[in-house]
Amino acid sequence: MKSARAEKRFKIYSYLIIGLLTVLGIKLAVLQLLHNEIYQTQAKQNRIRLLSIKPPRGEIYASNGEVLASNKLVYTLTLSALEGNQENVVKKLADIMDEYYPDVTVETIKEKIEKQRYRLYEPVVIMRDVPWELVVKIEESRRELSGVEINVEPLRYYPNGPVAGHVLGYIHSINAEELAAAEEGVYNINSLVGKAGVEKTYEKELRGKYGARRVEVDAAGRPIRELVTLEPVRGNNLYLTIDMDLQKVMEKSLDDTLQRLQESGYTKAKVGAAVVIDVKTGEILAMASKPDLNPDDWKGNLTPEKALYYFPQGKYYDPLNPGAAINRAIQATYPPGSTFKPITGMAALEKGVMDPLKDYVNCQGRYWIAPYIKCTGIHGNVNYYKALAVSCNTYFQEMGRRAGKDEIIKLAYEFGLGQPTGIDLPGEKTGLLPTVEWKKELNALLINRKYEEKRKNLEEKYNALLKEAKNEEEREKLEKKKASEKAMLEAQYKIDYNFHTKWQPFDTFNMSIGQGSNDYTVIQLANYTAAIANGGKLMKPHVAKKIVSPEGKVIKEFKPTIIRKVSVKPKTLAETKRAMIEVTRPGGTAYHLFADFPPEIQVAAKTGTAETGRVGDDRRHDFHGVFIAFAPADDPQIAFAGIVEYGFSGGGSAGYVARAVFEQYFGLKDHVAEMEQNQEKTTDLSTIGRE
Amino acid sequence: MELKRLKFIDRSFIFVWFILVILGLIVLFSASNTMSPDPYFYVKKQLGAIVLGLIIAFLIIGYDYTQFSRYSWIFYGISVILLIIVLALGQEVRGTTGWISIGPLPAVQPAEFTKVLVILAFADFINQKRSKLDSLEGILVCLLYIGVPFGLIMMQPDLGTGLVYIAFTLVMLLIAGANPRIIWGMVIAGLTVVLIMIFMHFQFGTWLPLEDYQIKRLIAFIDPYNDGQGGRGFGWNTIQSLIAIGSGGLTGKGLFNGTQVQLNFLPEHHTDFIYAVIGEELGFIGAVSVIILYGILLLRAIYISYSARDLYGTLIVAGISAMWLFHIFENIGMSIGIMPITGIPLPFLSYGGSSMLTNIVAVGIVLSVNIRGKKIVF
Repeated sequence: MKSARAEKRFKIYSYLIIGLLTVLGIKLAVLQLLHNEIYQTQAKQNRIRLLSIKPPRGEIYASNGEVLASNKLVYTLTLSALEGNQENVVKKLADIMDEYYPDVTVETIKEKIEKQRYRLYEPVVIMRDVPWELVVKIEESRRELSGVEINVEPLRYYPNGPVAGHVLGYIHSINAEELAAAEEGVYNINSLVGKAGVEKTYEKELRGKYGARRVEVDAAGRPIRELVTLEPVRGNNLYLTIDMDLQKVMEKSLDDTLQRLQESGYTKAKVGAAVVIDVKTGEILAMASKPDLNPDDWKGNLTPEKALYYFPQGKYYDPLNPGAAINRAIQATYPPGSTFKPITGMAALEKGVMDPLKDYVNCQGRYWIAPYIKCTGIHGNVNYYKALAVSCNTYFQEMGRRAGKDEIIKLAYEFGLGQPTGIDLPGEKTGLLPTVEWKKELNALLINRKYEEKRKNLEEKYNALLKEAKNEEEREKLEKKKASEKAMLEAQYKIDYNFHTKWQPFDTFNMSIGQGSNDYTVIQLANYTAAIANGGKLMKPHVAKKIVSPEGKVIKEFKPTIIRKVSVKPKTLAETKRAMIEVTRPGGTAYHLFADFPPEIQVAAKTGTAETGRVGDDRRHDFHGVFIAFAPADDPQIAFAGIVEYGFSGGGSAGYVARAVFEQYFGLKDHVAEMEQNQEKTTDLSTIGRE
Repeated sequence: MELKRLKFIDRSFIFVWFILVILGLIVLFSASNTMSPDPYFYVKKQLGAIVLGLIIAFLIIGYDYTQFSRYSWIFYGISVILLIIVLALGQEVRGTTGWISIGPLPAVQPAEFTKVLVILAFADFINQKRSKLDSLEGILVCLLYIGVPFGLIMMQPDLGTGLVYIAFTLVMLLIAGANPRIIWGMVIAGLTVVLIMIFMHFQFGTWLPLEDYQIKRLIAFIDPYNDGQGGRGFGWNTIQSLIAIGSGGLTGKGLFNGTQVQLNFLPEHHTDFIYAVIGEELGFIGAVSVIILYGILLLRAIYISYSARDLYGTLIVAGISAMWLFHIFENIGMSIGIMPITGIPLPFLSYGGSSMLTNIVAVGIVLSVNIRGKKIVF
């Protein structure tokens, strides 16, 4: 077969081979010589991972050094979602976790992966703080769980549970906005950040700095070699002004008071808040809000029950399920009730229209000027001391009238009512100090809206009638009628407008006794009380004492800050203090609370009963109990303000909390020791029971 | 034994082949040394197949290849039966049912062996029909003959091996002098039908012998990042292979130092993607050298085919060379992203006993033809 044609065929075949192999060679040259750098970069990206190392968050201590928030090392379960056989791994993982976390399903895991789809180079955190038994189980099934990692990382924990929970706040998963707002590298998708309390206020100090590891990984994402490591930097430690003994006593006493009230028929009494403040420095020694917030609840996802407990769902406020997330010492406002009366008294004194001793007002159970607001009793002739002691509405309405609204509003403002105190806790409410301008603005809006509607109706009515009118005569008649009706409406509007937008005498009366639109936070009341006690200095309250580096160096110390010095005369303050002492003396509304206090620890106080103003409440039965106090009267050290929702009276509710706190602070009774003893007893009993 | 004929043996063919095998063992060692507790595990197994292959090859060299024509129908029959058994009992590995294991023996891929058996039988068949190859009828008979084993392979489905069949069938027919116009006409017609069927399938959902995922896997190489999973699906192998080869540069990262290989980013790096290991660790110099070595091997094979004593020998060697050519082009082609991923090994380099054994037996057959050929000057 050696023909020329055969030879030609072999030649063609040879060229085919050479041609095909040349194609391969050319493509090879393009890849390896021309695009070499691109592929080198890709190879590097393939194998080098930057992993962040979580820094331990700064610790939080009470003023005595007791640990309030710390870190423990926990096992965190993560999933690197880069695997090909993800489906099986997720299923297997959900199976294994089922026994410990029935909530975790294939779907919930996939949701987490999906949420992070643009940052999949960071491992997805499936669960933090998993038990050791689960860790063992996962290690046993290692081969079926490629991509599943168990890391040891520091996690926040709060040894005291809910004690001071609202002050501490909580940390929770960072959200998209926070992540976007932060500087590059400060957080990652798995970060937990402070969302409330000092955890939020001092987030920047507490968070520390992420460390980084450059790791060489294999295709399964397993680290092969560590290339560079940048150690994380611990967050700074935070010392609070909180006195844990006082805090515990306050919380216990609030709990007891609420329970006692509920048992004696005040079933709505579920909410309370109280503050104790150092009158000289503005340091918050204790701050509590009931129902409790336990910071430990928030580290993972809130369970549905917990979510309802913290954030009740419902169109209207339900006093029986009030929601625990808010710190009612600063984030809720209440009418002050009679605790406002010292302001009225001081206004009258400042105006020089009242002699505390000699000026008597005759109380016959009602004020004699409209709207004849009822008094708490028939007090007969009362002067300032007596009137404050018995909380006489008639007396303070008269003093309010004499002093005039402007003086009252001015003093209330100077004592910080209706303004944020500037406390170093997030979400503080402003409250409301009613003023002439406020009333005008608000009511003008309401009245205008109302009359706009009326004018429109009138116009429509006549338009319809005019359309139906049969002849010119009828039409003219209607036009006339319309004009007169319109004039009447405008006249009515003028009257209404003038009446409602203008400050009326009864506004002054309401204000004088702390009702009406007055709405203040507990911290404002506490701060105002402290200002009376310390001689007129309105301090900026704060809960942070100092920030200390992990090495123990003090980075920042929080010094007392004066917001303003109130412009009242020392005599005014002295007389008011004297009147407030009368409240705790025989005949006073708080006598029963402090009767057995020794004379050197005299308490100055004022009780209050505030209308709730809530829809659905019984106006004769449902009142909030408010209480303010400071002690010792001759050299005041601490001031208290507290509220018990639906506590009916201040002396019967929040006053007991004040008593317990004062007893503890001044060493009259060691509630803490008692609590510990009780606890031991119950523990003993339970051990016995078990044996 | 016609030992004196050994002096005619094609020394450059053997030399090139020997270098390829040694290079293969070295690269295999680099690619597989971390894959099992015994770093030599895969090298040892590969060496076993080589030794076994060499023994058979020596026997074949001593045997007059013309005697094979007496067993053509037995070879053909064995091939068809093997392929039927695989279809019935085969174990599925990566989408194809190519594997079969008998008792304690290692699992084998009969499709590999059948390639050479079918080439031997087909060469004889064409040889007998040589006078009719000018007619459509004669060519159709040949195609019918090859169609049986081809059909069985496509039923597995093993597209890669199927294409190898097409490659050696075309080459053998053309070398035998079949009417090229008829052959090319058929190729063009066949391609048209396939393209229309694929088009119809995607436009109107008509039937195709392949599942959708198989088609997607086949076309993933065109745009590997667009595989529906951002390059983590069917495109993954192509991407990782491109990165491996591309990052190798001129001189490569050195044996045992290819990150793509050693950190397992490159899948199947000891078998189907061994060429990417060469590209990454030995660079352009190593990778091009391999192509040149294959080129010499193939051209020497063509020379042996050309100088064979008879048409039967010519066709055997032409078929074997076509088989190698297609394996080489397809395998290297998929490694550098110009061919679809079909999973056929690179002759003498990829790890795999069946493949190595078959190819060395094929070398024996080529040499058997070689030493009995005419000494002529090109």
